[in-house]
Amino acid sequence: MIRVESLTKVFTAGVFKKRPVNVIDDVSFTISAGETLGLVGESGCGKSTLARVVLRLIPPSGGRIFFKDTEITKANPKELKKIRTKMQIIFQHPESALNPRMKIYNSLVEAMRLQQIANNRREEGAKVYQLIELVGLNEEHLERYPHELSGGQIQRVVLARILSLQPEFIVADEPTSMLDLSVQAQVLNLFKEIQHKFNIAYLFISHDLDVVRWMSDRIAVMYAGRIVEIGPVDKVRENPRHPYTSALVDAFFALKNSGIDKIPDPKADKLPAGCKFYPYCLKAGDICKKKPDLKKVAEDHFVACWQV
Amino acid sequence: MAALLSIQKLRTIFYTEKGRVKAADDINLDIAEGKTVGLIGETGCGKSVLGLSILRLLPRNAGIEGKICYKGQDILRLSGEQIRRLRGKEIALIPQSPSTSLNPVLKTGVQITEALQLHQKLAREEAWKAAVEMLQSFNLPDPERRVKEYPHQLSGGMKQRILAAIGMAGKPSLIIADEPTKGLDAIIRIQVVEVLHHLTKKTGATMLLITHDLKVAAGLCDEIAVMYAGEIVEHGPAEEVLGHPRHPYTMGLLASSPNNGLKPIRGCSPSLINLPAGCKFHPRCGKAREICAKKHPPLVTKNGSQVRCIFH
Repeated sequence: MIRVESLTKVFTAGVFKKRPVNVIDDVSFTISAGETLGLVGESGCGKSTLARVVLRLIPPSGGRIFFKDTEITKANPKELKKIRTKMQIIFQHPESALNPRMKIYNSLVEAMRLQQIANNRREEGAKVYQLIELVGLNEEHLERYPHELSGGQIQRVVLARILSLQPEFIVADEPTSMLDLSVQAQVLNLFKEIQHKFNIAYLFISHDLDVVRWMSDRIAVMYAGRIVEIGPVDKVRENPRHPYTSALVDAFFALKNSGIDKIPDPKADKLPAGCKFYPYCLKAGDICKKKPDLKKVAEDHFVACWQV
Repeated sequence: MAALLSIQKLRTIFYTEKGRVKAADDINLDIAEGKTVGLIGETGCGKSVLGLSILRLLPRNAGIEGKICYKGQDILRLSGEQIRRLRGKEIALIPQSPSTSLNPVLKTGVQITEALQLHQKLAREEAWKAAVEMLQSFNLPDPERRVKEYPHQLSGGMKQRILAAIGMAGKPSLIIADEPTKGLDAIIRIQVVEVLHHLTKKTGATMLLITHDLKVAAGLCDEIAVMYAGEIVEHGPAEEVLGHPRHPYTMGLLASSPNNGLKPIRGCSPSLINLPAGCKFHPRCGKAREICAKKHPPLVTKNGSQVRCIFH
């Protein structure tokens, strides 16, 4: 469904002394229809930027993006508008995705009108009622404003609006990090249900490894703009091969600190050119000053580390 | 051991245009010296209000009834001046969201030394030295440089350590930590957990940890109290509450966490303005019978744990 090849994104930092910052550095992955790829990493490692570049919300600096085998890296605005119905994103703060002065009904039909999905107003209305039921809300909610809904309900409305466009690929950028446990469980179950029903591919970004494990088929671990490990969820969790992944897994599941507090921000600008993790890595050797490529360690499981 | 803080029949009500909001109702909670008590529950269940009631930091439209005894004196009867002396020096608050709780235009060092100068009456230079030492004890790398930086130059975990240092400046006996790990990623979360662990285990401070992160609660707390709709529904030793929950709400909460299969509790939390009669959880409870809608269950003590459910 989605194929990304050596994608890079370079931002320029600094006002007077301009310097390039590789926010995304040579990232490749694929996601097939109906599959979920989980993307984990610390704040600031480039997860959200990657998501936005893949959707062409910001232009990439290099590499290629394919959607259903058509290259969209250089698509013009007109072509993009067509593709956008098929590729959608859910943000971390859904409240800011809805216009506070629009009733839910109007927010829902706006997207359909822009993309000319419905032929007339009656069809449009029927579709809205169908969608709102699909996400577990009812007609009464349509006449409300966003501030009259709870976080979980807003997330459902946003999902309904996205579904009105019949997308085939959805990026979910930490969709439940602001929700309570039981509400999170409801929303995540809804995500899965919808995925099965419409065979949608997800790129699921989160820093909650438990959530990612529950949602994903495969998982990609990102550090400082690069994917350091990618593979089936259980293999990565049970048997992490990259030192960074093991530190992350320990920190999350066992609340155990394996020397990881010495790691400063994984922001790309001040890190070395080779393996970006090597100054903090216990296993590092001289070879780590060169950039490691993703190596196959098991079926479907790849790691970018010289010591594996 | 004697209770350092003893909350008795506390009731906090907000008087709003829409009606009376019972944010905390009939709360009885003892916190023994040196213990860490976790307060868990969902957004809007009154956890933070309980924390702020202890410090009397609530807005004017709030009414507090009951008793909060700290070292034998009732906090609710203290004068404004007396309570001001207690805050920071005896009872410290480590607020949530480290990114918004620091002053963005002051160097972090200034913010820590301000508290040190006030509470410990240190001279300026001494205070700076003490600030660096405190940050060092929290494992903050390169503290000499960090105290000369502004909050935006630090990561979330570093900021949380600065806040912890400000909180600890008065050498308080009781720390109230309000959701210290909310919205942090795994790496920063573990750093914050270590700081809190360090605070309680090494300095022997008592802590009330307000959180909805069950993993953090399990890692840090001796006892856990579960709140639902303004009431404590279960309270007991941490392993008991998290390992063998008795109240249906606690069970539901544990089952809805992702590592336990993500089974949600049906329905949603009630509005605190019109609470259901009887047991406040009964409309969402799978085990509810007719009696649950009529009779409000008391908190019953059994084998060292307290549960508020009629079937116990």
